[in-house]
Amino acid sequence: MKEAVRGINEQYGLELSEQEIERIAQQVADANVLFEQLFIDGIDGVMPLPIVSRKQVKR
Amino acid sequence: MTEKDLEGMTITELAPQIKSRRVSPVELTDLFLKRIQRINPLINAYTTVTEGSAREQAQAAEDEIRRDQYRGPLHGIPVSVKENICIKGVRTTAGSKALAEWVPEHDATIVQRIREAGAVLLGKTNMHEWAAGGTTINPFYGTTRNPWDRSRIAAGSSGGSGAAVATSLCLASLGTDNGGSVRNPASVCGVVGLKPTFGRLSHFGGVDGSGGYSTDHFGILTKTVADCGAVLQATAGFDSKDPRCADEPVPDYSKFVGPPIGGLRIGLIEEYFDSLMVRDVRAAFDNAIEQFKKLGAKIETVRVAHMNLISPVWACITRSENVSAHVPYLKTRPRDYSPGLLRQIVSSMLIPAGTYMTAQRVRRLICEEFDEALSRVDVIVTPTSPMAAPTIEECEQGFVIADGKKISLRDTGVNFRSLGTAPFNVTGHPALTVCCGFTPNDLPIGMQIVGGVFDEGTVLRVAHGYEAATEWHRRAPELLY
Repeated sequence: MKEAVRGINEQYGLELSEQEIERIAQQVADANVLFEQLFIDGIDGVMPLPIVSRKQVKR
Repeated sequence: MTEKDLEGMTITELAPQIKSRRVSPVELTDLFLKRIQRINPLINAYTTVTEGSAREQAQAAEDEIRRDQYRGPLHGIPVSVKENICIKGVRTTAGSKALAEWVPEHDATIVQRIREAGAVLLGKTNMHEWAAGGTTINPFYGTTRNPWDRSRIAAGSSGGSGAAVATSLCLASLGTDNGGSVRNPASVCGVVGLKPTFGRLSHFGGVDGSGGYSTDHFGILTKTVADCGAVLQATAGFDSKDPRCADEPVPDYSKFVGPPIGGLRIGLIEEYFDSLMVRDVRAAFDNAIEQFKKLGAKIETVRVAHMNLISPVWACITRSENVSAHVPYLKTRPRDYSPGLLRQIVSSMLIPAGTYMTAQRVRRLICEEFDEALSRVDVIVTPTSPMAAPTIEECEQGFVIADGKKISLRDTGVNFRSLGTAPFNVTGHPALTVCCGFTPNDLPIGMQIVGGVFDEGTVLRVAHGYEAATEWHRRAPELLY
């Protein structure tokens, strides 16, 4: 993950310190753990929600 | 009228007096400007006060009303606008250093509409840097302080708007809400905050990069529910400039403010919120439910199976969508970000596209579950925030001790304080916070009322029914006296 952060650092000229790169890599790792919860059974068959899709629900 | 008279005044009370010329918009604006001069240094709610143009607008309103050209309940009413909503010719920073000198050449559509309704724009309110957090501890423009206890946050990201309304530095404020950024400040400042349905208010003129494209909403902060309805009436409706804006009819919201709520069905999502609320919030929320019962509402339990996935869905979608707007600033002025926000933005660039799409799939499930729940009840009621306002010091240290437990304020996904509000940024349902009590140390507690898609009317009806039966909205912070 650190290599990916380094890549962004170089691409954008961010001049991040090694310590900052490590902290960002850790944040990415923490987020990935959180996002793993999304891959629930059967989710592949669900259509992703497009941005503008809300319509009044008739009761 | 004196400056003291402004305390407790509402749009609904003032409008007939302005219409009948018993109150002058020029004098009213002058009183608000004097009040801002006196009180704003204590709480830092405003970043820019547009004194000159405010006086011109007030004079124009007064002249029109004198000519019997009264426009409606916002004519001559002083309002404020959050720092990430464009006002033509007024610096609009989004709370960032990168935009410190940016002056837009156009109004946001809701600003244009509130101008057309005759409101007087007093200035811009402080916010969290790029709306990327909920404290309004802003490294560039200072911290907005909670008027109920200035050692505490006014929450955010629309913290300046919440503090300004609570202290009568304006009668309404326009804010933005990407995870609770209208509702949480309104809640901890003891005022009303509405995030309407996604697409109800045009988002044209919002600063890109201060929210996800599909999670961010414009919203309204006022002292009362009726005032909120009046501002929504003036600002809602289709706008061809914003492809996200819905072409749904806008009802007469005043008809929803007043009818009794007896017989309405109120849903509670027990599993999710039971584990979140701290003791004081639990007590106030339980009392509010009892109040609903006294008013004749029927309380039912509803189930939303995937509530536990709100945090990853919200975090993945909003960060992925938001980050693209930051690329130009990353390339040219990366050190204009605070270090923490720079880390968050860079880490957001590494969210895989497949994960984003999976989050959108789960989002559909959650939306369907809420639509199903809201087909069986008229509204869902929740605590707005699981806790009252923490201190600035607690926010800086990153945790708070509540009920003997250490609660992190630096979660990886949704921040603890936004766990009540973020679900409705994921689903787009309309959600309004109204004050439902106070902690023993006099900090406001908010209750959130959530309605069906584009059914803001029922949300306003239920909120007004509760508000009218209680006295919480009449309290004002001691700072004022």
